[in-house]
Amino acid sequence: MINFKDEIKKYGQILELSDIEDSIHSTDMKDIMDMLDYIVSQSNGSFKRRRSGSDDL
Amino acid sequence: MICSRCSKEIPTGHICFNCGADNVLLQKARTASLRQYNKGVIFAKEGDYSAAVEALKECLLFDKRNFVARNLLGISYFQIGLVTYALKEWIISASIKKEKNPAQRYIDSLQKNARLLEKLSDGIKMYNNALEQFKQENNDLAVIQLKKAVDVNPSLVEANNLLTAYYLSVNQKLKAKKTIYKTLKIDKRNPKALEYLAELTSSEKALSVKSGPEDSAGEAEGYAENGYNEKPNGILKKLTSVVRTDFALFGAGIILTSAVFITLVMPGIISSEQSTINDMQKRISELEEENLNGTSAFAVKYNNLEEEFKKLQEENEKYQGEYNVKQQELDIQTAEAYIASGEFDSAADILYNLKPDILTEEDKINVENLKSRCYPQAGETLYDSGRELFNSGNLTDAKADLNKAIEMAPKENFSDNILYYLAQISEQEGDNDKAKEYYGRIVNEFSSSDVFSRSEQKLTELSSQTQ
Repeated sequence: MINFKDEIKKYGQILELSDIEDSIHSTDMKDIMDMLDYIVSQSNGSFKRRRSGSDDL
Repeated sequence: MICSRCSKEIPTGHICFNCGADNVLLQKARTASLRQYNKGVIFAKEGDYSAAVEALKECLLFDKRNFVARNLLGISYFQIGLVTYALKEWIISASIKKEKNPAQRYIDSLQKNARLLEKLSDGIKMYNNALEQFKQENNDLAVIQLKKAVDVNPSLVEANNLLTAYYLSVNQKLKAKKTIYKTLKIDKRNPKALEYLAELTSSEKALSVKSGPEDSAGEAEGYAENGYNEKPNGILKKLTSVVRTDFALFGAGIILTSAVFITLVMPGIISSEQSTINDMQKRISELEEENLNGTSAFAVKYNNLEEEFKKLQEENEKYQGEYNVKQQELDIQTAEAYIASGEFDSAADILYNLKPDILTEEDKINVENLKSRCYPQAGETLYDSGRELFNSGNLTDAKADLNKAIEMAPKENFSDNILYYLAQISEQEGDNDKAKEYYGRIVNEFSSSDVFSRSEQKLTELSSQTQ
Protein backbone atom coordinates (compact mmCIF):
# COMPACT_ATOMS: atom_id res chain seq x y z
CA MET A 1 0.00 0.00 0.00
CA ILE A 2 1.31 3.44 -0.92
CA ASN A 3 1.96 6.26 1.49
CA PHE A 4 -0.15 9.08 0.18
CA LYS A 5 1.72 11.81 2.02
CA ASP A 6 4.95 10.71 0.38
CA GLU A 7 3.19 10.17 -2.91
CA ILE A 8 1.83 13.72 -3.25
CA LYS A 9 5.39 15.00 -2.94
CA LYS A 10 5.96 13.56 -6.43
CA TYR A 11 3.30 15.88 -7.80
CA GLY A 12 3.85 19.49 -8.60
CA GLN A 13 1.82 22.51 -9.62
CA ILE A 14 1.03 22.74 -13.32
CA LEU A 15 1.67 25.96 -15.21
CA GLU A 16 -1.51 28.00 -15.46
CA LEU A 17 -2.64 30.02 -18.42
CA SER A 18 -2.08 33.35 -16.70
CA ASP A 19 1.51 32.42 -15.89
CA ILE A 20 2.65 31.45 -19.38
CA GLU A 21 4.02 34.90 -20.22
CA ASP A 22 6.09 35.10 -17.05
CA SER A 23 7.33 31.58 -17.51
CA ILE A 24 8.54 32.38 -20.99
CA HIS A 25 10.34 35.54 -19.93
CA SER A 26 11.90 33.78 -17.01
CA THR A 27 12.82 30.71 -18.99
CA ASP A 28 16.48 30.37 -19.54
CA MET A 29 16.41 29.03 -23.04
CA LYS A 30 19.76 27.40 -23.06
CA ASP A 31 21.08 24.39 -24.82
CA ILE A 32 24.30 22.43 -24.41
CA MET A 33 26.23 24.84 -26.63
CA ASP A 34 25.20 27.79 -24.48
CA MET A 35 26.35 25.86 -21.44
CA LEU A 36 29.67 25.07 -23.09
CA ASP A 37 30.06 28.72 -24.04
CA TYR A 38 29.31 29.63 -20.45
CA ILE A 39 31.84 27.08 -19.15
CA VAL A 40 34.45 28.29 -21.64
CA SER A 41 33.78 31.94 -20.74
CA GLN A 42 33.97 31.09 -17.06
CA SER A 43 37.26 29.18 -17.44
CA ASN A 44 38.69 32.01 -19.56
CA GLY A 45 37.71 34.43 -16.80
CA SER A 46 39.38 32.37 -14.12
CA PHE A 47 42.39 31.91 -16.40
CA LYS A 48 42.52 35.66 -16.93
CA ARG A 49 42.07 36.19 -13.21
CA ARG A 50 44.82 33.65 -12.50
CA ARG A 51 47.05 35.28 -15.11
CA SER A 52 46.34 38.76 -13.80
CA GLY A 53 47.07 37.43 -10.28
CA SER A 54 50.43 36.04 -11.37
CA ASP A 55 51.14 39.30 -13.13
CA ASP A 56 50.53 41.02 -9.87
CA LEU A 57 53.06 38.73 -8.38
CA MET B 1 34.05 26.64 -43.56
CA ILE B 2 30.85 28.47 -42.54
CA CYS B 3 29.82 28.65 -38.89
CA SER B 4 26.64 26.63 -38.24
CA ARG B 5 25.49 29.08 -35.61
CA CYS B 6 26.17 32.58 -37.00
CA SER B 7 26.89 31.73 -40.68
CA LYS B 8 30.17 33.66 -40.70
CA GLU B 9 33.28 32.44 -42.51
CA ILE B 10 35.78 30.45 -40.42
CA PRO B 11 39.15 30.84 -42.18
CA THR B 12 41.02 28.17 -40.21
CA GLY B 13 40.11 25.49 -37.67
CA HIS B 14 36.59 24.85 -36.45
CA ILE B 15 36.08 27.58 -33.89
CA CYS B 16 34.18 30.63 -35.09
CA PHE B 17 35.98 33.91 -34.35
CA ASN B 18 32.70 35.77 -34.53
CA CYS B 19 30.51 33.79 -32.08
CA GLY B 20 33.12 31.48 -30.57
CA ALA B 21 31.18 28.31 -31.42
CA ASP B 22 33.10 25.09 -31.79
CA ASN B 23 31.56 23.79 -35.04
CA VAL B 24 32.62 20.19 -34.44
CA LEU B 25 30.83 20.17 -31.10
CA LEU B 26 27.92 22.05 -32.62
CA GLN B 27 27.57 19.39 -35.30
CA LYS B 28 27.72 16.62 -32.70
CA ALA B 29 25.10 18.36 -30.58
CA ARG B 30 22.80 18.67 -33.58
CA THR B 31 23.24 14.98 -34.42
CA ALA B 32 22.39 14.06 -30.83
CA SER B 33 19.40 16.40 -30.99
CA LEU B 34 18.11 14.70 -34.14
CA ARG B 35 18.56 11.28 -32.56
CA GLN B 36 16.44 12.32 -29.61
CA TYR B 37 13.90 13.93 -31.89
CA ASN B 38 13.51 10.67 -33.81
CA LYS B 39 12.96 8.83 -30.54
CA GLY B 40 10.36 11.41 -29.58
CA VAL B 41 8.55 10.92 -32.88
CA ILE B 42 8.42 7.16 -32.38
CA PHE B 43 7.11 7.50 -28.82
CA ALA B 44 4.51 10.06 -29.87
CA LYS B 45 3.33 7.83 -32.71
CA GLU B 46 2.98 4.94 -30.27
CA GLY B 47 0.89 7.11 -27.94
CA ASP B 48 3.59 7.05 -25.26
CA TYR B 49 3.48 10.80 -24.68
CA SER B 50 5.39 10.86 -21.36
CA ALA B 51 8.37 9.21 -23.04
CA ALA B 52 7.98 11.50 -26.04
CA VAL B 53 8.09 14.56 -23.76
CA GLU B 54 11.30 13.32 -22.11
CA ALA B 55 12.98 12.54 -25.42
CA LEU B 56 11.98 15.89 -26.95
CA LYS B 57 13.14 17.83 -23.90
CA GLU B 58 16.56 16.16 -24.29
CA CYS B 59 16.45 16.94 -27.98
CA LEU B 60 15.98 20.65 -27.19
CA LEU B 61 18.75 20.49 -24.64
CA PHE B 62 21.11 19.65 -27.46
CA ASP B 63 19.63 22.12 -29.90
CA LYS B 64 17.23 24.78 -28.63
CA ARG B 65 16.58 26.01 -32.18
CA ASN B 66 14.99 22.73 -33.31
CA PHE B 67 11.53 24.22 -33.73
CA VAL B 68 10.08 21.02 -35.21
CA ALA B 69 10.97 19.15 -32.02
CA ARG B 70 9.52 21.98 -29.98
CA ASN B 71 6.25 21.80 -31.91
CA LEU B 72 6.04 18.07 -31.30
CA LEU B 73 6.80 18.62 -27.64
CA GLY B 74 3.85 21.01 -27.55
CA ILE B 75 1.62 18.43 -29.20
CA SER B 76 2.73 15.76 -26.72
CA TYR B 77 1.96 18.08 -23.82
CA PHE B 78 -1.43 18.84 -25.32
CA GLN B 79 -2.22 15.13 -25.59
CA ILE B 80 -1.69 14.59 -21.88
CA GLY B 81 -3.80 17.61 -20.95
CA LEU B 82 -0.95 20.04 -20.30
CA VAL B 83 -2.31 22.68 -22.62
CA THR B 84 -0.38 25.55 -20.96
CA TYR B 85 3.00 23.85 -21.52
CA ALA B 86 1.91 23.10 -25.09
CA LEU B 87 1.06 26.74 -25.66
CA LYS B 88 4.36 27.83 -24.16
CA GLU B 89 6.38 25.56 -26.47
CA TRP B 90 4.46 26.72 -29.52
CA ILE B 91 4.97 30.37 -28.59
CA ILE B 92 8.74 29.82 -28.24
CA SER B 93 8.78 27.84 -31.51
CA ALA B 94 6.92 30.62 -33.32
CA SER B 95 9.42 33.15 -32.01
CA ILE B 96 12.38 31.03 -33.21
CA LYS B 97 10.95 30.49 -36.69
CA LYS B 98 8.39 32.98 -37.81
CA GLU B 99 7.63 31.70 -41.32
CA LYS B 100 6.42 28.29 -42.43
CA ASN B 101 5.99 27.14 -38.87
CA PRO B 102 2.79 25.27 -37.94
CA ALA B 103 3.18 26.44 -34.32
CA GLN B 104 1.42 29.70 -35.18
CA ARG B 105 -1.47 27.72 -36.60
CA TYR B 106 -1.73 25.71 -33.36
CA ILE B 107 -1.77 28.91 -31.31
CA ASP B 108 -4.41 30.49 -33.58
CA SER B 109 -6.51 27.37 -33.35
CA LEU B 110 -6.48 27.49 -29.56
CA GLN B 111 -7.23 31.20 -29.55
CA LYS B 112 -10.19 30.63 -31.84
CA ASN B 113 -11.47 27.93 -29.46
CA ALA B 114 -11.32 30.23 -26.44
CA ARG B 115 -13.96 28.26 -24.56
CA LEU B 116 -12.02 25.03 -24.95
CA LEU B 117 -8.82 26.71 -23.83
CA GLU B 118 -10.59 28.17 -20.81
CA LYS B 119 -12.09 24.79 -19.94
CA LEU B 120 -8.74 22.99 -20.17
CA SER B 121 -7.10 25.76 -18.17
CA ASP B 122 -9.81 25.51 -15.50
CA GLY B 123 -9.04 21.81 -15.22
CA ILE B 124 -5.41 22.66 -14.50
CA LYS B 125 -6.45 25.25 -11.91
CA MET B 126 -8.67 22.72 -10.17
CA TYR B 127 -5.84 20.18 -10.16
CA ASN B 128 -3.51 22.73 -8.56
CA ASN B 129 -6.17 23.54 -5.95
CA ALA B 130 -6.72 19.86 -5.26
CA LEU B 131 -3.02 19.32 -4.79
CA GLU B 132 -2.95 22.14 -2.25
CA GLN B 133 -5.98 20.69 -0.48
CA PHE B 134 -4.32 17.30 -0.27
CA LYS B 135 -1.22 18.89 1.20
CA GLN B 136 -3.44 20.52 3.83
CA GLU B 137 -5.05 17.13 4.35
CA ASN B 138 -8.47 18.32 3.21
CA ASN B 139 -8.81 15.15 1.26
CA ASP B 140 -12.57 15.27 0.69
CA LEU B 141 -12.44 18.74 -0.83
CA ALA B 142 -9.38 17.76 -2.82
CA VAL B 143 -11.09 14.73 -4.31
CA ILE B 144 -14.09 16.86 -5.31
CA GLN B 145 -11.78 19.37 -7.01
CA LEU B 146 -9.81 16.59 -8.67
CA LYS B 147 -12.92 14.90 -10.01
CA LYS B 148 -14.04 18.23 -11.46
CA ALA B 149 -10.59 18.74 -12.98
CA VAL B 150 -10.82 15.36 -14.71
CA ASP B 151 -14.34 16.20 -15.83
CA VAL B 152 -13.39 19.45 -17.59
CA ASN B 153 -9.99 18.28 -18.80
CA PRO B 154 -10.32 14.50 -19.22
CA SER B 155 -6.89 14.05 -20.78
CA LEU B 156 -5.09 15.61 -17.80
CA VAL B 157 -3.17 12.49 -16.81
CA GLU B 158 -1.56 14.08 -13.76
CA ALA B 159 -5.02 14.63 -12.24
CA ASN B 160 -5.96 11.01 -12.99
CA ASN B 161 -2.72 9.80 -11.45
CA LEU B 162 -3.24 11.85 -8.32
CA LEU B 163 -6.75 10.51 -8.02
CA THR B 164 -5.41 6.96 -8.43
CA ALA B 165 -2.86 7.55 -5.71
CA TYR B 166 -5.63 8.73 -3.40
CA TYR B 167 -7.88 5.77 -4.20
CA LEU B 168 -5.02 3.36 -3.58
CA SER B 169 -4.25 5.02 -0.26
CA VAL B 170 -7.86 4.57 0.88
CA ASN B 171 -7.99 1.03 -0.55
CA GLN B 172 -10.62 1.81 -3.20
CA LYS B 173 -9.06 -0.58 -5.67
CA LEU B 174 -11.84 -0.72 -8.22
CA LYS B 175 -11.87 3.08 -8.59
CA ALA B 176 -8.07 3.07 -8.70
CA LYS B 177 -8.14 0.47 -11.42
CA LYS B 178 -10.58 2.56 -13.50
CA THR B 179 -8.48 5.71 -13.29
CA ILE B 180 -5.31 3.74 -14.13
CA TYR B 181 -6.89 2.40 -17.31
CA LYS B 182 -8.20 5.83 -18.16
CA THR B 183 -4.68 7.23 -17.85
CA LEU B 184 -3.11 4.40 -19.86
CA LYS B 185 -5.68 4.94 -22.55
CA ILE B 186 -4.48 8.54 -22.93
CA ASP B 187 -0.78 7.94 -22.30
CA LYS B 188 0.12 4.38 -23.20
CA ARG B 189 3.09 3.90 -20.86
CA ASN B 190 2.62 6.61 -18.26
CA PRO B 191 5.25 5.76 -15.59
CA LYS B 192 3.12 6.74 -12.61
CA ALA B 193 0.07 4.83 -13.86
CA LEU B 194 2.20 1.74 -14.48
CA GLU B 195 3.71 2.06 -11.04
CA TYR B 196 0.23 2.21 -9.48
CA LEU B 197 -0.89 -0.73 -11.56
CA ALA B 198 2.07 -2.76 -10.32
CA GLU B 199 1.20 -1.76 -6.78
CA LEU B 200 -2.40 -2.78 -7.30
CA THR B 201 -1.47 -6.11 -8.88
CA SER B 202 1.02 -6.98 -6.15
CA SER B 203 -1.50 -6.17 -3.42
CA GLU B 204 -4.09 -8.33 -5.20
CA LYS B 205 -1.61 -11.17 -5.44
CA ALA B 206 -0.87 -10.91 -1.76
CA LEU B 207 -4.58 -10.92 -1.03
CA SER B 208 -5.20 -13.98 -3.17
CA VAL B 209 -2.34 -15.88 -1.49
CA LYS B 210 -3.81 -15.04 1.92
CA SER B 211 -7.41 -15.81 0.99
CA GLY B 212 -6.69 -18.92 -1.04
CA PRO B 213 -7.84 -19.71 -4.58
CA GLU B 214 -11.60 -19.48 -3.93
CA ASP B 215 -11.54 -16.03 -2.35
CA SER B 216 -9.38 -14.61 -5.10
CA ALA B 217 -12.31 -14.72 -7.49
CA GLY B 218 -13.68 -11.41 -6.20
CA GLU B 219 -12.29 -8.04 -7.08
CA ALA B 220 -8.91 -9.55 -7.95
CA GLU B 221 -10.55 -11.31 -10.85
CA GLY B 222 -11.50 -7.89 -12.17
CA TYR B 223 -7.84 -7.02 -12.64
CA ALA B 224 -7.23 -10.39 -14.21
CA GLU B 225 -9.47 -9.23 -17.03
CA ASN B 226 -6.77 -6.92 -18.22
CA GLY B 227 -3.99 -9.43 -18.35
CA TYR B 228 -1.89 -8.23 -15.44
CA ASN B 229 -2.73 -11.21 -13.29
CA GLU B 230 -0.19 -13.75 -14.46
CA LYS B 231 -1.72 -16.77 -12.76
CA PRO B 232 -1.77 -19.50 -15.46
CA ASN B 233 -5.09 -21.04 -14.35
CA GLY B 234 -6.78 -17.63 -14.58
CA ILE B 235 -6.18 -17.24 -18.29
CA LEU B 236 -9.25 -19.19 -19.34
CA LYS B 237 -11.43 -17.23 -16.92
CA LYS B 238 -9.94 -13.98 -18.18
CA LEU B 239 -10.65 -14.85 -21.79
CA THR B 240 -14.17 -16.10 -21.08
CA SER B 241 -15.01 -12.99 -19.10
CA VAL B 242 -13.61 -10.62 -21.72
CA VAL B 243 -15.26 -12.44 -24.60
CA ARG B 244 -18.57 -12.64 -22.76
CA THR B 245 -18.55 -8.92 -22.00
CA ASP B 246 -17.58 -8.06 -25.55
CA PHE B 247 -20.30 -10.27 -26.97
CA ALA B 248 -22.87 -8.76 -24.65
CA LEU B 249 -21.87 -5.25 -25.66
CA PHE B 250 -21.78 -6.22 -29.31
CA GLY B 251 -25.24 -7.82 -29.05
CA ALA B 252 -26.63 -4.79 -27.28
CA GLY B 253 -25.16 -2.58 -29.98
CA ILE B 254 -26.79 -4.63 -32.71
CA ILE B 255 -30.18 -4.55 -30.99
CA LEU B 256 -29.96 -0.80 -30.44
CA THR B 257 -28.86 -0.14 -34.00
CA SER B 258 -31.64 -2.37 -35.34
CA ALA B 259 -34.21 -0.58 -33.21
CA VAL B 260 -33.04 2.82 -34.46
CA PHE B 261 -32.98 1.53 -38.02
CA ILE B 262 -36.47 0.05 -37.79
CA THR B 263 -38.07 3.05 -36.12
CA LEU B 264 -36.31 5.89 -37.92
CA VAL B 265 -34.76 4.72 -41.15
CA MET B 266 -37.01 1.88 -42.31
CA PRO B 267 -40.24 3.93 -42.68
CA GLY B 268 -38.40 6.35 -44.93
CA ILE B 269 -36.94 3.56 -47.02
CA ILE B 270 -40.30 1.72 -47.23
CA SER B 271 -42.11 4.87 -48.26
CA SER B 272 -39.50 5.62 -50.90
CA GLU B 273 -39.63 2.02 -52.20
CA GLN B 274 -43.45 2.09 -52.25
CA SER B 275 -43.41 5.28 -54.29
CA THR B 276 -40.99 3.70 -56.78
CA ILE B 277 -43.20 0.59 -57.03
CA ASN B 278 -46.29 2.73 -57.68
CA ASP B 279 -44.50 4.65 -60.42
CA MET B 280 -43.33 1.45 -62.04
CA GLN B 281 -46.81 -0.11 -61.89
CA LYS B 282 -48.26 3.00 -63.50
CA ARG B 283 -45.69 2.84 -66.27
CA ILE B 284 -46.40 -0.88 -66.84
CA SER B 285 -50.14 -0.15 -67.18
CA GLU B 286 -49.40 2.58 -69.70
CA LEU B 287 -47.18 0.30 -71.72
CA GLU B 288 -49.77 -2.52 -71.63
CA GLU B 289 -52.43 -0.13 -72.90
CA GLU B 290 -50.17 1.11 -75.66
CA ASN B 291 -49.43 -2.47 -76.67
CA LEU B 292 -53.13 -3.31 -76.77
CA ASN B 293 -53.88 -0.24 -78.89
CA GLY B 294 -50.82 -0.85 -81.01
CA THR B 295 -49.62 2.66 -80.29
CA SER B 296 -46.48 1.80 -78.37
CA ALA B 297 -43.18 2.55 -80.03
CA PHE B 298 -42.38 -1.13 -80.06
CA ALA B 299 -45.74 -2.15 -81.56
CA VAL B 300 -45.46 0.47 -84.30
CA LYS B 301 -41.96 -0.64 -85.12
CA TYR B 302 -43.00 -4.30 -85.06
CA ASN B 303 -45.94 -3.69 -87.42
CA ASN B 304 -43.75 -1.77 -89.84
CA LEU B 305 -41.20 -4.54 -89.86
CA GLU B 306 -43.89 -7.17 -90.40
CA GLU B 307 -45.25 -5.26 -93.38
CA GLU B 308 -41.78 -4.86 -94.79
CA PHE B 309 -41.14 -8.57 -94.31
CA LYS B 310 -44.36 -9.46 -96.12
CA LYS B 311 -43.45 -7.22 -99.05
CA LEU B 312 -40.01 -8.79 -99.27
CA GLN B 313 -41.53 -12.27 -99.08
CA GLU B 314 -43.93 -11.43 -101.93
CA GLU B 315 -41.12 -10.03 -104.00
CA ASN B 316 -39.05 -13.09 -103.30
CA GLU B 317 -41.90 -15.40 -104.32
CA LYS B 318 -42.38 -13.39 -107.49
CA TYR B 319 -38.72 -13.65 -108.39
CA GLN B 320 -38.69 -17.34 -107.44
CA GLY B 321 -41.68 -17.96 -109.76
CA GLU B 322 -40.01 -16.14 -112.62
CA TYR B 323 -36.83 -18.09 -111.97
CA ASN B 324 -38.73 -21.41 -111.98
CA VAL B 325 -40.44 -20.58 -115.27
CA LYS B 326 -37.10 -19.75 -116.87
CA GLN B 327 -35.51 -22.87 -115.35
CA GLN B 328 -38.29 -25.10 -116.73
CA GLU B 329 -37.96 -23.53 -120.16
CA LEU B 330 -34.31 -24.37 -120.00
CA ASP B 331 -35.12 -27.94 -118.79
CA ILE B 332 -37.49 -28.47 -121.72
CA GLN B 333 -34.76 -27.38 -124.14
CA THR B 334 -32.34 -29.77 -122.42
CA ALA B 335 -34.84 -32.65 -122.63
CA GLU B 336 -35.30 -31.92 -126.34
CA ALA B 337 -31.55 -32.09 -126.77
CA TYR B 338 -31.37 -35.43 -124.90
CA ILE B 339 -34.13 -36.91 -127.05
CA ALA B 340 -32.36 -35.72 -130.15
CA SER B 341 -29.19 -37.50 -129.02
CA GLY B 342 -31.14 -40.70 -128.06
CA GLU B 343 -30.68 -40.29 -124.32
CA PHE B 344 -34.31 -40.99 -123.48
CA ASP B 345 -33.81 -41.86 -119.81
CA SER B 346 -32.18 -38.48 -119.04
CA ALA B 347 -34.81 -36.60 -121.05
CA ALA B 348 -37.62 -38.51 -119.27
CA ASP B 349 -36.08 -37.77 -115.88
CA ILE B 350 -36.10 -34.02 -116.62
CA LEU B 351 -39.62 -34.05 -118.00
CA TYR B 352 -40.91 -36.13 -115.10
CA ASN B 353 -39.76 -33.50 -112.58
CA LEU B 354 -41.29 -30.49 -114.36
CA LYS B 355 -44.08 -28.61 -112.54
CA PRO B 356 -47.05 -28.48 -114.94
CA ASP B 357 -48.87 -25.64 -113.10
CA ILE B 358 -46.29 -23.04 -114.09
CA LEU B 359 -46.10 -24.16 -117.69
CA THR B 360 -47.75 -22.15 -120.40
CA GLU B 361 -50.32 -23.92 -122.53
CA GLU B 362 -47.92 -23.98 -125.40
CA ASP B 363 -45.20 -25.54 -123.25
CA LYS B 364 -47.64 -28.07 -121.87
CA ILE B 365 -48.37 -29.33 -125.39
CA ASN B 366 -44.67 -29.38 -126.18
CA VAL B 367 -43.87 -31.34 -122.99
CA GLU B 368 -46.57 -33.92 -123.68
CA ASN B 369 -45.17 -34.38 -127.15
CA LEU B 370 -41.65 -34.88 -125.76
CA LYS B 371 -42.91 -37.28 -123.09
CA SER B 372 -44.51 -39.47 -125.75
CA ARG B 373 -41.18 -39.60 -127.48
CA CYS B 374 -39.04 -40.65 -124.49
CA TYR B 375 -41.29 -42.08 -121.78
CA PRO B 376 -41.84 -45.60 -123.29
CA GLN B 377 -38.08 -46.18 -123.59
CA ALA B 378 -37.38 -44.71 -120.15
CA GLY B 379 -40.28 -46.75 -118.73
CA GLU B 380 -38.75 -49.94 -120.10
CA THR B 381 -35.39 -49.10 -118.57
CA LEU B 382 -37.08 -48.51 -115.21
CA TYR B 383 -39.04 -51.78 -115.59
CA ASP B 384 -35.77 -53.69 -116.15
CA SER B 385 -34.19 -52.00 -113.15
CA GLY B 386 -37.27 -52.65 -110.99
CA ARG B 387 -37.41 -56.26 -111.93
CA GLU B 388 -33.76 -56.78 -111.07
CA LEU B 389 -34.22 -55.08 -107.73
CA PHE B 390 -37.30 -57.23 -107.07
CA ASN B 391 -35.33 -60.40 -107.82
CA SER B 392 -32.53 -59.28 -105.51
CA GLY B 393 -35.09 -58.77 -102.73
CA ASN B 394 -34.87 -54.94 -102.61
CA LEU B 395 -38.61 -54.41 -102.71
CA THR B 396 -38.56 -50.71 -101.67
CA ASP B 397 -36.37 -49.50 -104.56
CA ALA B 398 -38.03 -51.96 -106.91
CA LYS B 399 -41.45 -50.52 -106.04
CA ALA B 400 -40.22 -46.94 -106.67
CA ASP B 401 -38.78 -47.80 -110.08
CA LEU B 402 -41.80 -49.86 -111.12
CA ASN B 403 -44.26 -47.15 -110.05
CA LYS B 404 -42.36 -44.62 -112.09
CA ALA B 405 -42.18 -47.11 -114.98
CA ILE B 406 -45.96 -47.73 -115.07
CA GLU B 407 -46.54 -43.98 -114.90
CA MET B 408 -44.27 -43.40 -117.89
CA ALA B 409 -45.36 -46.45 -119.86
CA PRO B 410 -48.94 -47.41 -118.93
CA LYS B 411 -49.95 -48.97 -122.20
CA GLU B 412 -46.81 -50.67 -123.47
CA ASN B 413 -46.37 -54.37 -124.15
CA PHE B 414 -44.41 -54.79 -120.89
CA SER B 415 -46.79 -52.74 -118.80
CA ASP B 416 -48.74 -55.85 -117.70
CA ASN B 417 -45.51 -57.26 -116.27
CA ILE B 418 -44.86 -54.03 -114.40
CA LEU B 419 -48.32 -54.30 -112.86
CA TYR B 420 -47.77 -57.93 -112.02
CA TYR B 421 -44.53 -57.12 -110.16
CA LEU B 422 -46.21 -54.28 -108.33
CA ALA B 423 -49.06 -56.65 -107.32
CA GLN B 424 -46.52 -59.17 -106.05
CA ILE B 425 -44.79 -56.47 -103.99
CA SER B 426 -48.10 -55.28 -102.54
CA GLU B 427 -49.01 -58.86 -101.67
CA GLN B 428 -45.71 -59.34 -99.94
CA GLU B 429 -46.26 -56.11 -98.08
CA GLY B 430 -49.70 -57.44 -97.03
CA ASP B 431 -51.56 -54.75 -98.95
CA ASN B 432 -54.05 -57.11 -100.62
CA ASP B 433 -56.35 -54.31 -101.78
CA LYS B 434 -53.54 -52.72 -103.72
CA ALA B 435 -52.49 -56.13 -105.05
CA LYS B 436 -56.11 -56.79 -106.19
CA GLU B 437 -56.10 -53.38 -107.91
CA TYR B 438 -52.97 -54.29 -109.89
CA TYR B 439 -54.22 -57.79 -110.72
CA GLY B 440 -57.55 -56.26 -111.73
CA ARG B 441 -55.88 -53.83 -114.08
CA ILE B 442 -54.05 -56.72 -115.80
CA VAL B 443 -57.29 -58.68 -116.15
CA ASN B 444 -59.20 -55.64 -117.44
CA GLU B 445 -56.58 -53.95 -119.60
CA PHE B 446 -54.30 -56.75 -120.81
CA SER B 447 -56.48 -59.70 -121.84
CA SER B 448 -53.74 -61.13 -124.06
CA SER B 449 -51.08 -60.91 -121.36
CA ASP B 450 -49.03 -63.96 -120.47
CA VAL B 451 -49.77 -63.26 -116.81
CA PHE B 452 -53.51 -62.82 -117.39
CA SER B 453 -54.64 -66.26 -116.13
CA ARG B 454 -52.30 -66.09 -113.08
CA SER B 455 -53.56 -62.60 -112.34
CA GLU B 456 -57.13 -63.76 -112.65
CA GLN B 457 -56.44 -66.68 -110.33
CA LYS B 458 -54.74 -64.37 -107.78
CA LEU B 459 -57.62 -61.96 -107.97
CA THR B 460 -60.06 -64.76 -107.18
CA GLU B 461 -57.88 -66.02 -104.31
CA LEU B 462 -57.50 -62.60 -102.79
CA SER B 463 -61.17 -61.80 -103.22
CA SER B 464 -62.16 -65.06 -101.51
CA GLN B 465 -59.72 -64.30 -98.66
CA THR B 466 -61.32 -60.94 -98.03
CA GLN B 467 -64.79 -62.45 -98.09
